[in-house]
Amino acid sequence: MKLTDEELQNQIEKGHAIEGEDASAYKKIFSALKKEPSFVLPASFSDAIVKRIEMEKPQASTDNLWLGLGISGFVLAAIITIVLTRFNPGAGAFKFLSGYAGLFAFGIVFILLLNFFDKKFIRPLAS
Amino acid sequence: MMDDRALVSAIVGGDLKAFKLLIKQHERLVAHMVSRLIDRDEDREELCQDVFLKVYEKIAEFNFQSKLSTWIGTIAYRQGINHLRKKKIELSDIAEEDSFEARFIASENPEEELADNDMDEWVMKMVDQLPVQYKTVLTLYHVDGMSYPEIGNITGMPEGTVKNYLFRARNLLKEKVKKHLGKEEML
Repeated sequence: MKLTDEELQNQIEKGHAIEGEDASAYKKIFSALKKEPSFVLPASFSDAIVKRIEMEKPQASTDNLWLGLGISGFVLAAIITIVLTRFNPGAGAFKFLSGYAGLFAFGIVFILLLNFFDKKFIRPLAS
Repeated sequence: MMDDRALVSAIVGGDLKAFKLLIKQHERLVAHMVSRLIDRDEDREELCQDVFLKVYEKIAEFNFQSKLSTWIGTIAYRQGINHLRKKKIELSDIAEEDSFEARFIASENPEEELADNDMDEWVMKMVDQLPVQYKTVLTLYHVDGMSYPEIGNITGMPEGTVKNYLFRARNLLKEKVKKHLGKEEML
């Protein structure tokens, strides 16, 4: 009885002795596929990566320093502006916007939640 | 030997020696996957580095829902595919085209003649001509000994597709080998 290709592949994979042109071709293929690819990473490969990580670390801390300085500068500028201009949140456009305080609060909470879910659930799935 | 949980927790805590251990444990898998997808050795090593840098960046997000090797394999596969996309190398749908199979079996490549004294080498040259999806499935199954579900997790393919690609790839190679051997007999 002639075996189908699927049966042949299964039998040869299990190491059964089967004769015939197709079986012989499959045996050659299975034997070749088992061999490891010739490409091998150098012995110093892990050292090279760790070196790259160590080089990038100070960069990350510098970035954080600039971020901190930027936020502090922004807060300071806001305080100075409020003091110098005697800013009154109950006047002008702010008076109009104060009627929608709930909407603003919802917007902020919504954006924070969106970021939280993105970081906690979406990004791990994508990575 | 450290188990995966202890290893991951040490790396998250900033232990670079633990990360070196992780690299040693998984570099073979990453090298196999990348070498099947990418042709040039320089690109391969650089891509392997990128894979492990990505692993380091994301390791805190690893949630042990799969084996660590499967997760690293997934990153390697995605990085490889992104690299091919950047280089504008034809990626998908080839495996879906019926015409590809006929073209593959009928194609005559001068390189095929050069390596015909070594059947294993010749078969691997034929594997290199297969679509990316076939090559990846063949490597993960035959070289790295992964199961269908593990390969499915890495490549994002359903288990049935993994089985189908594996069958079709081996079937195509068989037709090619038969044709090659028939030609040799005629000489």
